[in-house]
Amino acid sequence: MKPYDWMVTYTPQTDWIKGGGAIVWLSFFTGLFGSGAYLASLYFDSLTGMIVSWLIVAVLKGGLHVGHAKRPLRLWRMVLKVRTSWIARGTVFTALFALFGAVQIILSHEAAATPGEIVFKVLTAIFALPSWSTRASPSTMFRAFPSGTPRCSRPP
Amino acid sequence: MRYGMVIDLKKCVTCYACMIACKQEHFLPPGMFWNRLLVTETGEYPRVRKVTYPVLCNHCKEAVCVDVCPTGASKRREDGIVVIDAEACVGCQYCVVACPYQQRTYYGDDKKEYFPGQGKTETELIGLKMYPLETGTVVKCNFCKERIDTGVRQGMKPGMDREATPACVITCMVKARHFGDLDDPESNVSVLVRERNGRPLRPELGTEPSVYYIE
Repeated sequence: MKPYDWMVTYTPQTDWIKGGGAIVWLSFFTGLFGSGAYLASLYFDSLTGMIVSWLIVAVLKGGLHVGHAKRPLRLWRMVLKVRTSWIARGTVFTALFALFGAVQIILSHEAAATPGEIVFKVLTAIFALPSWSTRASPSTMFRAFPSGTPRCSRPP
Repeated sequence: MRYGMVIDLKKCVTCYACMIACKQEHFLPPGMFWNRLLVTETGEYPRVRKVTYPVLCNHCKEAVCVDVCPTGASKRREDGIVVIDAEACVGCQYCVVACPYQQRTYYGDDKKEYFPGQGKTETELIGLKMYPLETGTVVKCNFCKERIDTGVRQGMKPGMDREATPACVITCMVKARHFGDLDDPESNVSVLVRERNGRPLRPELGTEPSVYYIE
């Protein structure tokens, strides 16, 4: 056996997650569910739906991610590495969704059908699209179902 | 400048001295190894051969762990050593998943003792002071950067001078491990890689590891 004959297949680690798998799974699930629900609410013009889906993403997803990080007070550093890290990009996208979504919900309640509301609806919808999680999130998700584990790919 | 290691698989006698030296050097807690020996067998009875692969962080030139780290805690120094800044690590463990060589370890429990229920030994207590690992962060082999940095400051040459060379290299009794600058074509490691066809692990990934194996 030559060194290059060894480790020729992917050997995923299983112990890294150490019981925290449910948190990670739930945070991604709530993120995808919440953003999808937000887009649906936008389509049906349901303010209640927008508020609930915003809460799901901003509070549940955000909270679960913070819960997974073992040093949450350092999470602000994630804005520094958006160039190469998909987690950092996801954090920024989620934060922007929460920010624009909050403004849009207030505008929808207080000043419906104004140009400002439309602009923020578009902005929030952009960041609600769940395509941020990897460079090909939808395809990754579908690919993940048969094997049960999404493959960690090298960022571009 | 790119520090690298060459491991001669023919010389390795599977004595585990490198593994222990690494643990001693960094006062690693129970169950944590930055330097491991993977032992496998090839062939069929009665012609069976034991093969040992000493594995450690490959300090890749194109390190995936550095790319995926969301906070910049994982970084590659100018001398090619990939290090983790414990002050910046949030413990998300994305790098642990991303490393194709499985060389990163999450350090989450500092209560572990070598003798459970007996309290920490004197060595463990000294280790907590001399080489404190921060809980909730990811740790890994750092090519004994403290030795290298101190040695270089004193004008020594890593790989040549014992005091400036990683502990696993100077401990190896059969001199199966070699350390040096891979960017210097005349260095000991470059000569070994060139003359004995050194190969890294999984070169097809494009990570350009700095640890080579020769047979």
